[in-house]
Amino acid sequence: MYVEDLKNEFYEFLTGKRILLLVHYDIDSICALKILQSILKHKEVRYTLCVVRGVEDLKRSHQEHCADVKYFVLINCGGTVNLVDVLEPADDAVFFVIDAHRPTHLDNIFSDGQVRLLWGPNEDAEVPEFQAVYRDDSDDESGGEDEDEENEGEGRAAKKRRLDEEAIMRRRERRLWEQRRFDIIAEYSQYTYYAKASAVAMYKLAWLLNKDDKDLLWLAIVALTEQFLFSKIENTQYVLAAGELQAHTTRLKNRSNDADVATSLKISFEKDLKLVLYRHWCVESSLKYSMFTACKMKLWSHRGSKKLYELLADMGLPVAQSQQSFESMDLQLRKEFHESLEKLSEKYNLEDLIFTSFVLQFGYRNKYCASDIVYAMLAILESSPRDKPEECFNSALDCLSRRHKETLQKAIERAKTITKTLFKTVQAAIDMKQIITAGSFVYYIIQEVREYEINNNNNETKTDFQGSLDWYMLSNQHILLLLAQFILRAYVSMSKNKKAPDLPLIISAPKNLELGTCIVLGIPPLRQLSPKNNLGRAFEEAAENINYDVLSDYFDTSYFEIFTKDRTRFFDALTALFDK
Amino acid sequence: MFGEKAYLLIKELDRNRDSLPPYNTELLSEIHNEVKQLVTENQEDANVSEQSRLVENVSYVPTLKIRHAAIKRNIRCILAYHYNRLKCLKTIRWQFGSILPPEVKANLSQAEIDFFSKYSSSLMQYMRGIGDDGGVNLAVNLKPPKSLYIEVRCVVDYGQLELSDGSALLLKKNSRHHLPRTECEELIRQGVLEHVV
Repeated sequence: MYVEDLKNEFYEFLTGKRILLLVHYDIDSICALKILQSILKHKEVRYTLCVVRGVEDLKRSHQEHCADVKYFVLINCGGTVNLVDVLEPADDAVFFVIDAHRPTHLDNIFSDGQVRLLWGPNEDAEVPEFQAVYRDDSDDESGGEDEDEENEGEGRAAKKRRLDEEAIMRRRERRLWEQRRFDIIAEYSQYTYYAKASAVAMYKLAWLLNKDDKDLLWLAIVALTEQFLFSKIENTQYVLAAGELQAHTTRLKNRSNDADVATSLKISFEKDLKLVLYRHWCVESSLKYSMFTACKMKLWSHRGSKKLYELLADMGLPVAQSQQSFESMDLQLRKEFHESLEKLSEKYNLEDLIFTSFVLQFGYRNKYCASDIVYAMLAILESSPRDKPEECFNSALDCLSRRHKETLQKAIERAKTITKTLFKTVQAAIDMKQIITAGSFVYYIIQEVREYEINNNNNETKTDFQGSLDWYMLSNQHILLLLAQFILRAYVSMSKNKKAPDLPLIISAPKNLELGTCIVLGIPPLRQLSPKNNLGRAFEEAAENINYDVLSDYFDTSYFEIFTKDRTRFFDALTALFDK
Repeated sequence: MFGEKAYLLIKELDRNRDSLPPYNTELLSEIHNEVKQLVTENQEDANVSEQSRLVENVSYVPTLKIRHAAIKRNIRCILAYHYNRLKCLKTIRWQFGSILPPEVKANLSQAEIDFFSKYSSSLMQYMRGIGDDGGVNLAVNLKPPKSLYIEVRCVVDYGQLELSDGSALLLKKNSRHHLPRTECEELIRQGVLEHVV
């Protein structure tokens, strides 16, 4: 059921009640959570927070709390699964869902009030009609009974014949209807994609309630930038949403407050470069390791690095300066950095280097652009092998509040390591030709630690540590997504195959060494501009074809989890499926 | 010089601004004696002045005035001493509750101990009377809390917590909750929960 009047039916409804917040483990949901927390503070709501990484976690958290809590708010999880079936809740439990994953499960849309979706029907595309998908089963039986009562006068045999014919007609009609229903549902749910970020929707609610301020706006900006950086939404969608947020920025600008630099918080809408963390790094590293520049200039090859120095020379940046941190470069060079890159973008095939984004400034030293914060949070959430998810979650919440600057600094350092690791993995993959074409798709498999142990018996400890750090990071959803995009772009730029931009990529990384599982992700081909991903459906079908018990736990169906020993069989099934 | 010992008394109090030094019985008795001496001297001289007024016109009035000023000064200092000690005692009651820690009790005179117990019972009687259902303990929050509800994070695995409306709450390590202040305060003091700003 759709809830459009968020203020009365969601916010006022939850006053004074006890609720459970189930939050998915990603950046958008953390931002949405913070916004929701700050507006729920004004209402006497007692809530408990649970972090959810997949469907299993959702079930477990629900199980633990369903005895005491009747109202559940799900952030970025649960929209795409049949909540009533999966969780088996009590009859008076109510679920409020705010989710950016699409397509929403039909049972959630047509639920009669137990599952309430906090967006409007215009945000769900191509929802089939209710009649096409649901059918009152009692129609058949009641029809039969009426017949019996009416025809007492008729002869027995004649009645029986008529009943039989009608029964056959009804059964045939029912089969046709079920067939059509199956096709409709298959078509509806074949593509997975993302809609508006939950944090942006929460910000709109805060705005409606007049409780918005620059902090909440910044959270919405970070969530939107995350969607853009991970290519979860198209360019046009990003531009539209950024335009809306820009309107809010201008509205919230306060000229008198902003004059005092030490205490004010300023958000400005500026043009920004697609270079990772360049304000906190040195120019050369940032240019070398960012996905955009690396793929356009092929910076993993020897010729590519020469080209990089050429670019720096053209910009007028001495090599010594470019290897220092950005903050310690000459003031003149720093100011001209943007324009010089813009001017040379055509010559070096770097169009689209510029995109519009937001920059946050508070105090004298702290200037962060939205993508910096996204990478920092990514580093906290997904690259700490020792910490448990709840601790990472708490650190991420700390990082967003401006009081914990050291957390943010450490996270930015770790984000730099992640970017370097991604680059090195791609470089290794291309040099050793590990990206394999399988006819109609491309795949890349990240080897596990065990393989290294077999090969290098002498340097066991050394490669062990390096291998384990790499694969641990890469078994997380978003880092794997970044790696997949990087590899696909690198492959397309290096390949002479004319069909390369049309091939989707499937990447596999080890996930859990004790259980022997690995995670498989598929991303759509480069030529397809829209990020709609139908590889999830392909995975399911391939699994069915080999009679495999589905292990998948993720809310985003383009991720899949299988046992490593079955991986080759799975890939064979996929090849067969794609060839059809 | 007159008033020196009183000055010492006040200085001692000033040195220990927020805590109570031991009740300085000797200094007080010395001042007491000084005052008594001054009073007797004054009385003699006043008598002499009175008698000689009629005969020789010998007037000791200036001396009387000086001694009187000294007497008043001493009394003022003694009063200030006692008053400030009692003020300190009252703050202690609000901060620590009605049971005095033994090290503080050792520094008090008997009269002060009596005052404390009577003050305490008077306060309790008042607190029982206000608010419904048994009274409000005003000493819990000396500054008014900013909000009724606070956000807390659980630091250790505590298990089930029974809330005042009967429902149970599972406190696992690192879980976050938003609860009324009254429910959490006890646990925050124990260190199970941590207040998140």
